[in-house]
Order: sequence, then C-alpha cells, then structure tokens
Amino acid sequence: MTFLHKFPKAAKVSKANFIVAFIALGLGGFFGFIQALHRTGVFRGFFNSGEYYTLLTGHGVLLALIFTTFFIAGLFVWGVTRSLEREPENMTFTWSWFWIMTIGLVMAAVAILGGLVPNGSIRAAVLYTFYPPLQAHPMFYIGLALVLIGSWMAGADWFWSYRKWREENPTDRIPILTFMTLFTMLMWYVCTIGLAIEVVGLLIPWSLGWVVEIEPLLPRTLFWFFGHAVVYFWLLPAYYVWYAILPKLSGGRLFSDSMTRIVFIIFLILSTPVGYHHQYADAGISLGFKFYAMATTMLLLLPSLMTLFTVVASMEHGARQRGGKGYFAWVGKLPWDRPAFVGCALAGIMFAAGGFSGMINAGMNVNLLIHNTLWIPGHFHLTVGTAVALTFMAISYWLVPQLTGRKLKFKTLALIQPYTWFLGMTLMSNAMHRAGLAGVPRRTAEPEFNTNAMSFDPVFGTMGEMKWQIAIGGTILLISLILFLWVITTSWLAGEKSDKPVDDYIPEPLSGVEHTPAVLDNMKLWFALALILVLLAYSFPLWEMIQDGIFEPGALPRPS
Amino acid sequence: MAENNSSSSNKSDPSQSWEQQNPEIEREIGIEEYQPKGTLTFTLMYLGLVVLMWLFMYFVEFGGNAPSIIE
Repeated sequence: MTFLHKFPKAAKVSKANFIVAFIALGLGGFFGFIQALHRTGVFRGFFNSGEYYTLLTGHGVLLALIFTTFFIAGLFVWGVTRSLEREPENMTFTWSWFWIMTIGLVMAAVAILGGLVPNGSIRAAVLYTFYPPLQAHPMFYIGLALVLIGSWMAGADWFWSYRKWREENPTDRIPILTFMTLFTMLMWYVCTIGLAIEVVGLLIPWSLGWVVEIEPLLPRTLFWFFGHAVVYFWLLPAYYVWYAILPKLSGGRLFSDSMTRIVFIIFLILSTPVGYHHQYADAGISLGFKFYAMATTMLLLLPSLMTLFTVVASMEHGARQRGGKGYFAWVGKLPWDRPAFVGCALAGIMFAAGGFSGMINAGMNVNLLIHNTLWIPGHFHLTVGTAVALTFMAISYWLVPQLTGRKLKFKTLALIQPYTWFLGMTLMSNAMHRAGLAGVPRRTAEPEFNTNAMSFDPVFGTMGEMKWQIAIGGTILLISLILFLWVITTSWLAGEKSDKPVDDYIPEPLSGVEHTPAVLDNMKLWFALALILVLLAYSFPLWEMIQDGIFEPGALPRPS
Repeated sequence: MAENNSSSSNKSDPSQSWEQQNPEIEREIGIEEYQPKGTLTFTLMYLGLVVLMWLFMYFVEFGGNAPSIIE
C-alpha cells in the first residue's frame, strides 16, 4: 500500500498540480536556454532582441511563480493528507482552488506569449517583478490575482483539515509535515497582503485605463513587501523535503524536531519585513528603514545556518548508520547512486554557495557593487534555480511513484539528471557572478549594446570564457531538464505497477516531539508577532508614500 | 511524525526499529551516542570559506581601489 491506495482523492489532486508544474517547468526552462544563447551572442536566431523580454518574462513567471506554486500545492496536499491521515474535507472546494489557479495561470501565460505574435495587442513583457512603469495587458494581472486567490484557498483547505483533525485529537502535537505546511502558508498570507493591494488596488485599474498615471515607488515597494518573502515560499518547501524526507533517504533520522519547528517560526516572523533590501538603490525610502531591513535580513541567515547544521547532521547520522566513519570519510557512505538523495544533496551544496552571494546582496554597501548586474541572476539560479528546483525534481523521483502506484523507469538517466544539473549550474552561475562583478547588466538582450565604447573589466577570468560558460551551462541545464521530463513522463505513463513502488516510510526524529516545547505550536502567537514586525517596517514608509495621493506623483506607462 | 502506518523495507517484525529492519544499515545510533563531528568540521570549513570570500569582496573591490570620482 502506498499513498495512492490509501488516499486516492488526495493523490489525484497532487498529480493534477504536478502536471501543471512540470509543463510550466518544461516551457520556462526552454525559454531560459534561448536566453542563455541570446544574451551571450552565441546564437540569436530564435527571436529578436525585442522579443527577448517576452521570453524573459515567461521564464521568470512560469518558473518562479507557476512551477513553484503548483509543485508546492501538490507537495503540501501529499504531506497534510499523509500526516493527518485524512483526505481533503470537501473535494469540490479542493478542486475549485486548483481550477482557479489554473485558469489564472493560463490567462497570465496567454498574455505573456501574446508578445510573440506580430502586431498583437496582448503583451506582458513586464519581467517577473511586473512593477510599473512597465505595463502589461489587464489579463496578465487578473490571471496572477486568480493564482493568488487560488493559493489562499489552498492554504485554507489545509487549515480546514487541521481543524477537523484537531477536534478529533485535542491533545496531540501538530505532526511535523503539517506544522511546516501551516507555517509556510501563514508566512504566505502575511506577505501576499502587499501583492494583493498592489495588483488589485493599483495595477488592474491602471492597466484597464481607469487611471492614466501611476506612482512608480508605491507599487514597487508593495511588490518587494511580497517579493522577498516569496523566495522563502519557494525555499521552505525545499526545507520541508530536506528536514522530513532527506534524512531517511540518507539512511538516518531527522536530528531534531524542535530545531525544525524553530526554523519555520523564524521564517514566518522575519521573511516579510526585509523587502527594502531589494530597494537599496531606490530613492524615496529613508536610510533608516533600509538599515532595519538589512538587520532583519542578516537575522534571517540564522535559520538557514541552523538548517545547514540540522540537515547535514541528519545526513551524517544516516551515513554513520550505514557504516561511515571519520571526519570526512562518512560522506562516501551516503547513497550517491540514488537520484532522489543525490538531487537533494547537490541542491543543498549549491544552496551553501548561494548563501555566500546572498550575504553580499544583503549588505547595504557591498550590494551597490553588484546591484542590477548579472551577479543577481547568478545568485538566484543557485537558490531558487537549484536549491529549490533541483530538490523538487529530485523528490519527484520519490513522490511520483507514490502518487501513481508505478515504479520509476530509466533509473540510470534519473541518476545522471541531478549531476548534469549541478554541472550546468556550476558553469553558468559562477560565470554570471563574475560577469556581474565586471559590470555586465542583468535583464539585457544585448549586454554589449549598453556599454558603447566602454569595455567590461573582469576581476577573474576573461569575458569570452564567461560567455561560453553561460552558453554551455545553459545548454547542459536544458539537457538535464529533458532527462527529468523524460524519466517522469515515461514512469508516470508506463512504469511497472506496484503496491509499494518506493519505500515511503519516514522514521521518527532522533530528538522527537516529546522534547519540543509546546509554545512552538502556538500559531496565533507567532502570526501576531509577524504582523507586528511588518507594521514596524512598513506602516510609516507606506503612509509617507501616499501623502500626495495613491497614484501621485504619477508616471506614464513604459514603453508609452 | 506519527507515520507508523506506512510500509517499511522488509517489514516483518513490528517490535523491531526501522534501522533493524533495513538491511543497508549496519548499526543503529541513538541520540546519546551520536556525535556529529563531521558536521562540525564542514560547518567550520564553510565559515572559513565565507569569511575569506567576504574579505575578497570587500578589499579587492573597495579597499583595493581609490575612491571613485565622477567628473
């Protein structure tokens, strides 16, 4: 018996979410490959440089917003159902949030891809951040609003299951898989307040022509209210996998239940009041609030470093149980021949490198060195592009068999896939970081065009070598992506049917919930604290910004 | 994680722990005897690396250059 046989309704919902997620991954990843060749100048025959920005928007929205949100929804349906041992409470409600999100996604995708139709009137080349003065077709914003509403309903669905479970189990501790889901969603509710106000209150009326001009700073600030916390909305489900599943895949147990809960609580509290660290170069926000955001950002390193300790210690526990010894030799005893383990472990290593560049981004002074350069995409391809995406792909090799009741096919290809992703990203990301240090701008179809007579001055290496590392790395990433989609699709459709396609047992943590203080499960307390910190960070600056009127001082849409 | 309803590898005797039922595991290590010294080693190495990289960023890019004057 596996998940499919015990919870067939929830398995169907998870599978539907994964199908959408994988289609978005394939399409968005292909756009990324075209960009890697285009901006390096290796091959510019696919699309022209104007259309590059449509592809860039498609790449960002389909991967960072659609692939992640749908995969996370599928993962959380699996986790909540499994740990509470109950199917969703009302399948009509559950399917309604799935379809609302899907309709929203289709609207946003059609608006973006409309930019590739010659002389078409529907366009949304507004990049993943989509703030003014760049303007998209109203369908894009309305679609995103629907995705957002659907995700809120999904969260409500999991809280509903939890309440029903609580009525039947008044004294039990929240199971860890459900705990991590609920705290991630609480954080999502806090941070999406900013996005909802921006999209519904400002962007939709503006794109419909009800107002002509818009203030650039207010929607930009509201976007970053959401825009940094969203990275934790992607990352926490990867942590969820690293905490709950990776220790078992390593042959051991999670080191500590209470450490896990504390980490999720800190993320709930601190994820949102850090948004100004994306606006260090913005005029109109006082230095004091930027400093507050920097301090909060540095505090956020703490739960990630705690995760480094807990996850590596859990893996070491597994390796030692498998006969590992010494200070370093134990690493060799880890199951480096299992795709799900390998993908998660390599994703974790990449995240450690991304942690370093994140510390540079967070520093208010050093940030100016790399602000708006190719360093930034180099950074987030390590974090969301590998720590999150590779973890999601890898754990699919373990989850999809449980959801389909079919064994994985092409296990050798599945094993090669995370290694090729790691190789491709190592080439591409290191070159992007160094190119950023040399001053190469991000979000530019022809980076050489901006420079006129100026030449880039690399600190390490040469510009030619970086260009080829980005192009070759991007190509290897596409090959890895095709391998993943091939393995998953063939396993899903034609894998050998089995009652137990994978060992899905998850052992208790080494230091279990009996050692965890009860206050950690107090959701009201931590949610209230999160709201207070957000009020401290945002109330005064937002109040200042609307002094001249909500749409004043106005700017026309660009390109106008 | 009350997951005892799930199937485990070679589950034959419910009184046995997960480790005892898993043929790949050589010995079960409890919380009292486990010393994550490998984790400590890697954490210290990471700390050293981050400090070195940060110093590189700061001194090569700022300390190593004269103040910029835009004319």
